[in-house]
Amino acid sequence: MALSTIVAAPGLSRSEHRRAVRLGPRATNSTRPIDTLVEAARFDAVEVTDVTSSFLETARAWHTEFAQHESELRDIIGPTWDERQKERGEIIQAIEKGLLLRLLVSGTARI
Amino acid sequence: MGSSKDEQRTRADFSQRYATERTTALEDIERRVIGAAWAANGFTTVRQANRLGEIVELAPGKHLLDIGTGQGWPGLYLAKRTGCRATLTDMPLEGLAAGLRRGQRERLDVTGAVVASAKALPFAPESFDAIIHTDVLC
Repeated sequence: MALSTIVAAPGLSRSEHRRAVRLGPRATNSTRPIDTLVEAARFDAVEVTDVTSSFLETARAWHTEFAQHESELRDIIGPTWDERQKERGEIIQAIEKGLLLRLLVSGTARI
Repeated sequence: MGSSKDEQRTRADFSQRYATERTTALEDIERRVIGAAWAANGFTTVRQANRLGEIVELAPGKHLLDIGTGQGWPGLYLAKRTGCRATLTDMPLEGLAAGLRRGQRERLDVTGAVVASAKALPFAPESFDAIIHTDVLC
């Protein structure tokens, strides 16, 4: 199994964690390390790679591209345009402030 | 099994997103941001998708389950790249329908698409050789 996941950074204060959960994608609210969760799900040889720098680069790219093409896309996207662009900006802020991480995780099913 | 309110909200939100017309402009943006146009709207780049495929050793004859696939990214892309068979699963039906259409157009080996919550997948143990999911557990 291989997966990517977005998590609240470890060591955040309670208010920072709440902010990470609010600014991150839905369900960014686990407080358990991902490797612990994957091992508990009966996977061995768990490896975790931090890809947060790529996460930030990609998040910025989405935000910039949609901003640059707003005139073409606003009508296509519809009434959720403003909300979705705001969410893109909030995720960028959260990553820049060290509140959110993105991880690639792999594991082998325990037989 | 009933879905939680959060799952219901997420499903409604993404159903609306997947109903949005796929235009050339959107596809061009996707290519510039993640490296390909496979109806992705998250943070997994082509490079990362390739890495996921390498980790689970996808190859012809292997059967991949892509959980939370949306419209088929990255499962369909990996099926094309590696020759593996893919089964797609997620909650919004609109996304899965779009994924199946793309799989047919690309002549990929797609077993099917299953509407299911990642919390209660309807597959027997050891049904798949590899499982991937991108930004689903977050």
